[in-house]
Amino acid sequence: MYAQLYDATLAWYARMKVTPSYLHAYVATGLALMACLNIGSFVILCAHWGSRWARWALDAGGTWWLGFAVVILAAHLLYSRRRQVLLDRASSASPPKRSPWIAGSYMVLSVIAFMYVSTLAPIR
Amino acid sequence: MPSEGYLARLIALDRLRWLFLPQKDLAQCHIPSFIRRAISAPADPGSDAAASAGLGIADLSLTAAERLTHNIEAPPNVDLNAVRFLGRSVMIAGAAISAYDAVNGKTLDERNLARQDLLFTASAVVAPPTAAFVAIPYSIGRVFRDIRESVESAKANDLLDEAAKLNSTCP
Repeated sequence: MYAQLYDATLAWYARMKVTPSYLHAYVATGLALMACLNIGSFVILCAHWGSRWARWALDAGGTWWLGFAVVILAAHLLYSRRRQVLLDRASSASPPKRSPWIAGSYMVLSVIAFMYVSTLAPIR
Repeated sequence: MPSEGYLARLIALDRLRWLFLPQKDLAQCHIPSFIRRAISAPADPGSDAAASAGLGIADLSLTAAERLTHNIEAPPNVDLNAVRFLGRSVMIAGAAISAYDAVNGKTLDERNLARQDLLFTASAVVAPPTAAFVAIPYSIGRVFRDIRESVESAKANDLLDEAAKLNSTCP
């Protein structure tokens, strides 16, 4: 599933004329940001519905959030490296073709959802 | 919470009223409560605005570099793509910081501003070619806003100092 999203994002940034040597880095950073936003939305929603762990996570402070973002980014960079190797091997046979609009819609929806859900976060 | 500019205008108006009133009445010499509140405020919003303006300029220049180097033919030993990717990284970091502020901002205004920042920065992350028309003009406006806020806050601080001096000279 995530591989399909990754390939669609690859097609999306290729359409935006990003330099091929940096294409995977663009995809990894873009997807990492969207993952952070989506997980943030989920935590805020859980806190809004009264979950204790989510409230603790919201009160945890900047260092925890920074650590969390670094872990997400590192995971995406590692996945990107792995996927790059797989795609390089497969490129001679048949490169995967995905619709770039899947990635575009996913990113736009992630941002809009976060913007809406962030209004539910309690003001401390 | 009133903005810094509004506070500065209020203080200036209050100072004028204060100068035209007879100074013999001790009650007129007391610093108004909103000035006292401003003096006892723990953080300096002017410094925050100045820091935000500085970061905004760095962000803006790197975002602009990411966009404006696209049609430049670089010599073989110069990697312009690295500059572009640096600009991209700054954009991502800016969006992440805006997202954090949108949830953890102390006031509703601060959070709304962070949401607005996130919207414009994320547009450049999602579709890099739109940065030249959306994110960069917005960043220019944001930097000017921060600089103006910082200057107004500095003026307000000067007025507070003068008000304190006037108060100390009253009988």
